[in-house]
Amino acid sequence: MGRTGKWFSFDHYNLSPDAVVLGKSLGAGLPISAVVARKELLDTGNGVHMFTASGNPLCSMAAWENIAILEEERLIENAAENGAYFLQMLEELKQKYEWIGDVRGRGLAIGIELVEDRSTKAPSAGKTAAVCYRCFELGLIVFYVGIHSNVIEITPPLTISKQEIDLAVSILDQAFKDLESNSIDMEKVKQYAGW
Amino acid sequence: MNQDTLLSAEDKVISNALKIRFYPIAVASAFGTRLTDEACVSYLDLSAGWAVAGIGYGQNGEVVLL
Repeated sequence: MGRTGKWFSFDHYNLSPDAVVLGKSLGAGLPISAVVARKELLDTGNGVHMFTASGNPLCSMAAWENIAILEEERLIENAAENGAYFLQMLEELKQKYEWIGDVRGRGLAIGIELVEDRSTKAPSAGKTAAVCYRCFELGLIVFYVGIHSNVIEITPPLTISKQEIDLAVSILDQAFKDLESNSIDMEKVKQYAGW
Repeated sequence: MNQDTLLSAEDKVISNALKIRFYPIAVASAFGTRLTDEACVSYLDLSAGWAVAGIGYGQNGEVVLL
């Protein structure tokens, strides 16, 4: 919630949803979800949407505080501004390494796609795992995702600063350099296959 | 309990069905944008989306408030 630089991803487009499902980000770590929709869609009968844990006071309070913090600390604006900065820095990194096939995202939801070759776009799962492992050794926690396991996912706290983004990009840069010079211990990488 | 002990204990009692492991880390604490493991090594966290920590960790003592 707020990660893309607006409250919801659909806010980037000119559309008005019939219903919105708010998932795990609503509770900032505590389990809660919600369905928001027009009255005529939800009020189809009495008691048709009752759940044992609905309205749990602790989780509801956490969600309330989460929304308040997002607003008061202007974290959605930070996601938009610093997300654009992060993307710009990663575009510069892409110029240095052919294995970076694509950099994409909105706000602080960013992906770096690794390929064997930019023309064929063949996924490079092994190199992606190696870069993530090396980042861990250098003090940066980052995971990879995607159906080919070749996209580094970047979803930091929305509080991240430009200085921290500079640090993150410098560590990624070092990890790619180490991959280039074959100085990443691939035996260690293989022990942790991710998915 | 050191990090190896915690990880080996997890291996003994937690099903692999609950694990996706990219590297050997056992987080002992977290604050702001940072995670700290049991050896007191600090890491900048770019994976907060997984932990739904959009507002960061340990926000202004909110845990105590709740």
